Amino acid sequence: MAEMEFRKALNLALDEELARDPDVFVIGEEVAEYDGAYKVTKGLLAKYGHERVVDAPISESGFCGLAVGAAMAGLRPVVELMTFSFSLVAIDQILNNAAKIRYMSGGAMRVPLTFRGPSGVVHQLGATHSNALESIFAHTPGLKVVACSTPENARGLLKSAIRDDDPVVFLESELLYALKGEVPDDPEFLLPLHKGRIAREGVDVTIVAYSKRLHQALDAADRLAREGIRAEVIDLISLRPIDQDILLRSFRKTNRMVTVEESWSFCGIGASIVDIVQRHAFDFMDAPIERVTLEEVPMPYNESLENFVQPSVDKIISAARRTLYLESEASLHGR
Amino acid sequence: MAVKISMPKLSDTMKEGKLIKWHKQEGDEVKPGDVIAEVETDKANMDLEAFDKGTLLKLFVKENDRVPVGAVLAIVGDRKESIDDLVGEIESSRDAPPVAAVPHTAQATAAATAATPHIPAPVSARPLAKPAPSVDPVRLGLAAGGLRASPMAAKMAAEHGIPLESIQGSGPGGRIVKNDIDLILSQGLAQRLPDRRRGGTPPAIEIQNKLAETLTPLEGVRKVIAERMALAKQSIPHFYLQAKLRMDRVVGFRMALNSGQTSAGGVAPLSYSYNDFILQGVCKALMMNPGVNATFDGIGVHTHAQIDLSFAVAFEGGLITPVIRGCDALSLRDIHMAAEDLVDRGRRMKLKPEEYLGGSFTVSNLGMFGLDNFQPIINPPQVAILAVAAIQRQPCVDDEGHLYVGWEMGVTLACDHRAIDGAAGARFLKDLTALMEQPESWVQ
Repeated sequence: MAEMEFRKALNLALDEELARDPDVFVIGEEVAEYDGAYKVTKGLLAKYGHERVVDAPISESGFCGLAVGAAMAGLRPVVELMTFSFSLVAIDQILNNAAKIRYMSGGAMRVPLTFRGPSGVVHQLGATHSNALESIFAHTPGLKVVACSTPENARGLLKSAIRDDDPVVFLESELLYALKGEVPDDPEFLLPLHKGRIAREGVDVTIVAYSKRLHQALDAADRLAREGIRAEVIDLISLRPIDQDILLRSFRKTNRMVTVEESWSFCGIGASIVDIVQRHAFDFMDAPIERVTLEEVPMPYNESLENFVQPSVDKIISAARRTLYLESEASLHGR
Repeated sequence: MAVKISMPKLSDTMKEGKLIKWHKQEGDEVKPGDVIAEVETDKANMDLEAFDKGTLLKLFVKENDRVPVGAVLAIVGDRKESIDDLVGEIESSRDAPPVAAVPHTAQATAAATAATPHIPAPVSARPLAKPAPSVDPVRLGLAAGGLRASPMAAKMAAEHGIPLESIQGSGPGGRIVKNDIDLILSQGLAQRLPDRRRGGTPPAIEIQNKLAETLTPLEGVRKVIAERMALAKQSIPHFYLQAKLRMDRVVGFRMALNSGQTSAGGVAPLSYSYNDFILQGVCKALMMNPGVNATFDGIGVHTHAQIDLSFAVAFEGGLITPVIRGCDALSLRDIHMAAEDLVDRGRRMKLKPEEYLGGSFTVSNLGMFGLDNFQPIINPPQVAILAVAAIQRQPCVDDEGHLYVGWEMGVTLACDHRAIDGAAGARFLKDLTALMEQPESWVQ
């Protein structure tokens, strides 16, 4: 085990997969000469050269389309999107081509392709640069959607995504890049793309979160523990396919749930979790499932408002207390 | 440590309660489970049970006082401890306005509505019996689904054999939630469930040997009964039809009427008995089945255009059946008053012959003895008699096939087969059954 930053764990995964498989290449804006906008691809150009670490023009639709074609032809492209907000200009390539070619070709062609990059709100980047689009990707059959949360799982999951024969949307977070954590040394350390994990065990309420919100959920669980509430925290990791087993196992134990997500409420990840739980664990419900989401507005630039509309530790605690009938709805807005 | 015992909120609509009786006095020792007092709520009378062990140090409320929910009724504590400060604090706060003052602004109202905490304030006393089922003036009786429980709580209750209706839910709107069941399980079932003996161990049954050799000459009422019943049972070919009537709505409707919550159909509030409802319901069923409101003299069957309803009244050493004349035209209130008067004078043997002779149909009600059912003897020349047994809590199945705990009453119609056939008697019972299921449609 070695301690390293989140971005270094991703860098290591890319480095190892580039070394392991000559079909793997990296493409994106500023990934080569500049070592990556967030230094995730640092040193890779020097090591693997321009053919395998490719600076793309500012044309997401172009290089995402190129990557789809390369994948169809047998390569394993890793596309870096400087932020997933920019994936919107390439959405046809991602949702209509990458996601559907295997199906449209009757299984004759595969698209082993990874779209990776930071997603979600950072800090005062404004509404158009703060999108969290995971619901749109997770909505689409043909894609796998993964959200990593620690240096350890960032490395294990990215390696699995690159080796996977289907297109994977791999969501990172700019606010996590500097997070340090222990990472296994084994170059074959792989994590399954379809499994969540229990990040903290508890019996009173299950808090489901992913990506950077996991860390808020863990903080909330710490504070809840001080008032005697033992929260179980699930790191969802896989947003599509969603890990039903871990959700249901936990809910059958705790009978209460709070979902925390990076994006808006309507048609959100939490909405699908609620659907699964009420369908398969109806008899185990003790309270309506609470959801903590972005407020239903474009992300404000104003710092106070930006903080206010996001999920927070306080909001998660309030929601957990509501599922235990210790607090009513009104107090949330009183905070 | 001294603990305050407050007026508990025993139903959603309860705002104040009346202390009917103190079962313990200042200086008495109490332990958890002891009944301290009896409280009248807007729905029913309930016992207050102690949560804590100690000495009843101070009572703040006199019998028959009405106090708001949350008001301190008493202090329980250590015999030696000083409670002067606590008493001073409580007595000064009693003069202050009630805690839940009405908010004046729209905003405050909205906030207060949304923020209404559903977690009951800790009180040191709890009701021993469950509160009376809440009565909705629009939809009366115990509707299926009226009880609210989270799916998890319902599942746990079923697994542990805990009757949901015995639990006061702590969730919104009285919803029973997992925590309520956990509490019961952690406290032990026996302590928390309503004790049907009301107050713990029942008094030992004292067996007095009253056997004696006596000889009572056959005379008076006893003689009349002996002759008439022997004649009736020996000469009338009786047949018996039994039914179980769903009384949920009658129970609810009566409770609403008696609590003054509704004046449906212009019925004046009074302490109506179930018998009043049964007598009026029987009249309605007889109006629909004239062949049962009849007399038979061996030559012909005489049906009557008016119902003169006999009802059996027992007294020490005998039985009399006073008659409510023209009962079909009477209101529930009139029936109540007439029956009350006749019962009273009947028991004192003060009835005039025209007050107990010549009825057209008889109701014999032994409900007070908790019977499931019984078979009556026809009172000739009448052609039928209805035996009414107890209204009891029973497992019932609602129209949608769901099991619930409801109220049922067994009845038996005895008919003279010379005058009535089985189908005619069955039709009467079918109509009576339907009537009892919707009293609000005919009670007047």
